[in-house]
Amino acid sequence: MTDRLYIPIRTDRVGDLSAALHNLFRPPHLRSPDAVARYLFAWFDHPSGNGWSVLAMPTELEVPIHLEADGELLAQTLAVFLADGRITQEEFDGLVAAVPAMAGQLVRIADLVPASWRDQCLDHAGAVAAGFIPSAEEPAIP
Amino acid sequence: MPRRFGMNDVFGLGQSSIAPLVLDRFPATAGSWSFGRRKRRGWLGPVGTLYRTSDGVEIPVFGQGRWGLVGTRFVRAFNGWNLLARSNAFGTSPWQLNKATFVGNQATLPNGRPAGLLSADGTSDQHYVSQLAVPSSRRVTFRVLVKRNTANFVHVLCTFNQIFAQFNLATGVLQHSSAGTGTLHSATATSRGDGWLELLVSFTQPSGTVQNLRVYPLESAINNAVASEASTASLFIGEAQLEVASTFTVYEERGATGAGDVLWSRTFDQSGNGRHFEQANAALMPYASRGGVPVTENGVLAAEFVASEGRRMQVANSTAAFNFLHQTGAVLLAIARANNTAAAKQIIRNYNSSTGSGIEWRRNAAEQLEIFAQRIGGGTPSTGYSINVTNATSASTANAIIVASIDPDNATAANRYVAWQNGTLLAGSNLESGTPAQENAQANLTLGASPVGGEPWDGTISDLDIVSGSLATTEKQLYERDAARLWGLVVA
Repeated sequence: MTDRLYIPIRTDRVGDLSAALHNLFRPPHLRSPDAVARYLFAWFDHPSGNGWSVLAMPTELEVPIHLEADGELLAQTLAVFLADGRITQEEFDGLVAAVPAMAGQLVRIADLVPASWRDQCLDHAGAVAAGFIPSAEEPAIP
Repeated sequence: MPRRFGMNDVFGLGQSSIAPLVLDRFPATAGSWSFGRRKRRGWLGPVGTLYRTSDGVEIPVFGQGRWGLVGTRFVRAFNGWNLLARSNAFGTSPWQLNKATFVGNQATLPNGRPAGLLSADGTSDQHYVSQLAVPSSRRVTFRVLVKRNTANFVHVLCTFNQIFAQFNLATGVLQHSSAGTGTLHSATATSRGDGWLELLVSFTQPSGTVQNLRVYPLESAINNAVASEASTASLFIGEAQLEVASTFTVYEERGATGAGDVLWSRTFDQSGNGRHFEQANAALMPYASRGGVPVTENGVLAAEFVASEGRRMQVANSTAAFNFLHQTGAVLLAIARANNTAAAKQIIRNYNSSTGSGIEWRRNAAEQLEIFAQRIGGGTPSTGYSINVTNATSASTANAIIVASIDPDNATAANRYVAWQNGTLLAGSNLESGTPAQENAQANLTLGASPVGGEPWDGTISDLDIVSGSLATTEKQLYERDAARLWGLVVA
């Protein structure tokens, strides 16, 4: 099984972040209007509905940043995290500025996780212990 | 007249009647179906969309009205098959040089293309070029063209498992080799003229994770996986390929990424009702091709679901579209193969855990078929269920044609459910007599897991049809015979 990093994100923002990461890989203007794919990583909402989710990011996954990737879309997504104080201005500026430099490169996405988030990231056991991932399967009908 | 929903519209006639469901009058084996016949049947539309993980490109695919008949060669061509990125540019990331240098355009390959020079740096250490690309538990073949410069030997190593093959560059003779803790299937060197050797090393590494592939220029023969020496030995090298195959096929030049996977992002509802199964999250889409190899059953393209990755697809806004409990019942027809995971796994489900309503059709931890229909306000099994059956004789991990006919409103409990596997009636009768209280569909119809991702399927699903209403025995048998012909199965 692939090693994953589980990053706690507010449920109302986790989809936008996964979509923003997909945008680095495949900018929206290059997609077919009929394209289904929108998100790069899966996430788990906390079953209690406490407003938190964990984004499941494969630790070794390298993604080719598209030549036409635009830091603007990432900036729009990260702006709410900046407003929340979840990333620092320095981290925000660094990530947004890095996108043009990464264009055409193979980038390990886990390396983009801001330093201030690293101590909050969970491994699989931690995500299970925190209740994001059920330790057993969802109960069946019987 | 029953109406149907599904991925299989083999005559391209939508769901105007059930008769066109089957291929009884067609030679349906893959590859024997002429385009001319299909044109007469009038089908020109796509059967799904495929997503390529190496660059995010998504395209529609055409399968003559059936996703299993999307050409596997097309899928392979769309995906690519060489797992190595920068396959002729060894000095560029993701290649890693260890105590070695690489200079491009230093020689000419037999086909006239440029090759580079890989050189040890003179220190006493391991000297190699390496790329992290070898998948676990799959037989792969590494192919590379090499030519002697000052090196006398070339050493090919898969790390962790210490599988290696070492060749004499002058003679092409295999000098040393070891399967390490994996399997070395074969290792050969064939002269390609002008001093060039084509190395083919076929092996399987079982580590569970992706491993490194290394190529060392050696001055001396070293019978050790970790070939360390003090040298400046060099060799010319070009056109590397790693593919999931028992032998080398055709060289594919790769740029920034090696071949990844192809995923089903959507399978079109062939009934014309627009109830397409979709998955917007690339991490959750089922596979159409893994590691450059299309997912097939009997050579027919399928969808592979991996339980540990929770892959699944869903019909959006379908909570009210499949009220199986209160209409005239339904017939569920599928072709599926489950791996033995000792865990329950869903084929389809629209049961909502919160409201306690819907149906689920799955294999249980013993790989037996099970079906449950529960009404809103469900409680104990004796009062909360309309159907609750485990088919004791159905345990199987083989690809199988499975059919379930359900009629939850039937006043007679035993008449609410009957099922077949490969045409054989399955033992197991419904005893639940409680009738549904209201329409049951309380979650989106989901393929390969529960609507929230629980109990994911592990194995392949090749076909799914849902008929609203019942089928005559002869109609069911026509479907089974057709499916048996295409998927090489035997039906009773």
